[in-house]
Amino acid sequence: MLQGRRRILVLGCDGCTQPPRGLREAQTYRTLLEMALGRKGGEVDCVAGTVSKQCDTALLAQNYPELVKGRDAVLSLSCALGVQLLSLQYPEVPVFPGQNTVFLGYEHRDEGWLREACQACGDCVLGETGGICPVARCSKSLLNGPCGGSHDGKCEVRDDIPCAWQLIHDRLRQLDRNEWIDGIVPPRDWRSSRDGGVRYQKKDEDWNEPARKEVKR
Amino acid sequence: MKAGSNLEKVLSSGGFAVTAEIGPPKGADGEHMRHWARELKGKADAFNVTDNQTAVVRLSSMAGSIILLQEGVEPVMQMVCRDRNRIAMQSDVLGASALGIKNLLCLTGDHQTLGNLPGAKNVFDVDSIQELLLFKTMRDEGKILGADALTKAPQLFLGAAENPFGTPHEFRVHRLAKKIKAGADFIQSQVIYDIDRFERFMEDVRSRHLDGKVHILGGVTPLKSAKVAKYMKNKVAGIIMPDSVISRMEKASDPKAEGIRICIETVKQLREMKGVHGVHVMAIAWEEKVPEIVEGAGLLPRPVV
Amino acid sequence: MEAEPKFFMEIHVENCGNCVYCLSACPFEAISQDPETKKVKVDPKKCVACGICYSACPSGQITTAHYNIDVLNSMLDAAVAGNPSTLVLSCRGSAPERRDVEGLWEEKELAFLSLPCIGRVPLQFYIRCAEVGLQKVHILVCEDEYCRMKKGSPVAQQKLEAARLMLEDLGYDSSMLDLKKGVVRAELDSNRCIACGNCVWVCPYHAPRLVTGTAAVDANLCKGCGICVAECPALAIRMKGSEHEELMKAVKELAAAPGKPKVLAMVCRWAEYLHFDRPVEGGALRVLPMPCSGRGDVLHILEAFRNGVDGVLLATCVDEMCKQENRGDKRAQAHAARARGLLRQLGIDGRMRVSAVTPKYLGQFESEVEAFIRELGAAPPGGGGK
Repeated sequence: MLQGRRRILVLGCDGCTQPPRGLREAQTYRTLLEMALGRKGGEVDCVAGTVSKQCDTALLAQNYPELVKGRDAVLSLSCALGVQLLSLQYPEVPVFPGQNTVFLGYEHRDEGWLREACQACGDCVLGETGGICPVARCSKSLLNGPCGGSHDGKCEVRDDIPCAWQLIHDRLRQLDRNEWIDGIVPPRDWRSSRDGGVRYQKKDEDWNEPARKEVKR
Repeated sequence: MKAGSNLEKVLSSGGFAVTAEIGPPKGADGEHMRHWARELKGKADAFNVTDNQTAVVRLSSMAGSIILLQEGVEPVMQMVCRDRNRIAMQSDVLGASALGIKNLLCLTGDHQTLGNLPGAKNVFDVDSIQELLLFKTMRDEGKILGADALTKAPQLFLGAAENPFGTPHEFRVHRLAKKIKAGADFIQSQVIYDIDRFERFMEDVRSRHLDGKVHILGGVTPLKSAKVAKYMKNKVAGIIMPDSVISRMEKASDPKAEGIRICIETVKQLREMKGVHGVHVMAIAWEEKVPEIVEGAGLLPRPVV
Repeated sequence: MEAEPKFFMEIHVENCGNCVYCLSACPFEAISQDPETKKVKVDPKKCVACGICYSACPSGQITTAHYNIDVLNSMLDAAVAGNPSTLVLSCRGSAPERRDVEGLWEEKELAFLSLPCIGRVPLQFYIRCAEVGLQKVHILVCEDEYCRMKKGSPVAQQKLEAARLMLEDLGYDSSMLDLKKGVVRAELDSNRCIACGNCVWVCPYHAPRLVTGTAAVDANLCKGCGICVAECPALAIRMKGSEHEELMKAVKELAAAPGKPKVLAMVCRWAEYLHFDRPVEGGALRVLPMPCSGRGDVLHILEAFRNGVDGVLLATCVDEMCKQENRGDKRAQAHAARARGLLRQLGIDGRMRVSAVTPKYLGQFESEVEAFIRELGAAPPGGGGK
């Protein structure tokens, strides 16, 4: 991926920490790059840096121009958002992703896992399902209860995936809120999700208030 | 009459229905379907043609069902939610109905990671209950739910599957009620080895008066060996395999014959069970035994309605 | 079959007067008295080799391999060889290296001795200090709450009082002994902190907390183990005595030294005592002492291999001895595993060894180092850093 490049900037991002990918990671990868490139002989000049967020043009503009001067490649440790915005803002230098952005999830420190919990579907039903997302946490995104493959509270796909509908069922019973267990949930309008086309929001004059998007049904 | 299929007529007349399964081949092999259609004609009221079962690519359920029709045998077409979105599903239903397919079983479908193309994209645009709702709307209201009216409504006898042994247990009868409300006319259950557990399930069903609203067919599968029985006990989710059945299979001098015998006994017990209106024989890769099982349970000849 | 490991100390009960000072002095209740025979004995499992019983025994019936009076006396002789008039005697918990005491006292010329816990120092040593002609002995113990050995600092203070009295009796100036208390704590730079919460999560003492936009370390709770320094993704935490830049420099110095195979040993100060006092020979082994084996992080390990080091040994405490509630050794193992995985991506077989050792049994660290060097010699590592 970084074939032929010798003056690489390894750029970390402090914006989120799942897992952390700031200055320490950037220095770690810079060391590794120098070790790898050094073996091939010739000049190697890699630097490591970090910015507070790579997904915001203003924050990038603050630090980035000096960091990128004279570099022939950037290895970005941010999620895909940063990689793409860097490429957009500074097209003269190729930007490579240092990692795969895998999912939106939450971290359980005691038990030591990060679990996928959101699909950014745009139409949140967590209020109805007792705080457990059926779209993200059910492997089939079912909305009317578990499929026949649910066994012992586990998903048929893998034993380490809890059956979301078992969790939802138990939680709703606990809360005595049974609408989604008793009633039929009709087919969903997926337009609020990526299925409706690539999503985009225009921010209006009040910077803190994103414009409300009208979803036509 | 919703569709006037043979299966519907047998059930409506109060008879004990028999359905069986013909699994499509992994190839463009129409002959396979024709062979079994001829072999099994008259041994059941209708035959399920599975839809890429266990997420393995096979000859499609619709094509297989049409071949059966061509052989004068009534199919039950199956449609899972895994591979098609609501546009394709409803389009296929219109096509199926136009070609004379009347029985349609709505299922969620096994996850694609369990099949032979685990890298395929997930669809699951709708779940099986929503699927039933869509088809019921097409049939009874002559329109696409949330959209246009149809020029001609499909004629469908709608079915769904239920697993009486799955978890959460408490939810199974609930889910059955949802399916009925969404439009299920008949239900085929997961394979039964523990008749007592099934009876308990039926008690719940009857106490909620659901047996009067839907036709339940109990699923059976003949065992070939004790090894298969043990595998089902340990590795297959959603099947309850009593130790007594394993024991019988282990002690039998001819396990295959014993497996058939156990199957026939189960069918007979189902016939006696209040609220059970038929049996669904799933002799996977052992289709040739269907006639023996149906006959052994005293269910031949099938009624002509 | 290995020989029975030799426990580092012994109570000679045949001449013991059963005063049970050792029993009451032991902060870990490792010494008990048999109710019938009245003889005292030590439970090796509970003992942490702090040495406090050694200094407590009034009749010299406890022998120890670690810093007994003979060793201390020869260390003292070596330290004052250039005739300085002032000695600094510090605990490794708060000032393990000479540079850590710079600027604390006026004197420029200082003799320096650092020990794992000053509570082990017997009265005779302080008298000896006067006998060799020292004018001043500055003792630097850890603050009471900070003391790793629970009672090491108070015991040292008591010894100091007793020593002053004895010096007076012997005609010396008792004010030649004075005492300061020190600590080493994590220093967190809020400007660099990205509020990820890792330090909060990983600290065995619950010292850091997340406040608005940053973490903050409660100094009273921090025990200076350095685990947070190694885990901070923003390199926002520093700690005196194990600064990142110093460790990197030490790694480079090892790499430049002659001798093969080159082994870098990152060693918890409390897991191994003796080696720090032996001169390093031939450059084959360089020991980097750390407040905790969890302090040595992936960057140091990578830097070692990059500079041509052949193997990295991480010496951790054994389970029951880890002062950091067993987190230190787990962190060390995690760092080694991570470094190994990263180096493998480059096709480098980074030879690492994580050894759990304790000063309770003699020779463990040496055996581990020897075994590692043998391993490296038998199958030299492939793929180099340079």
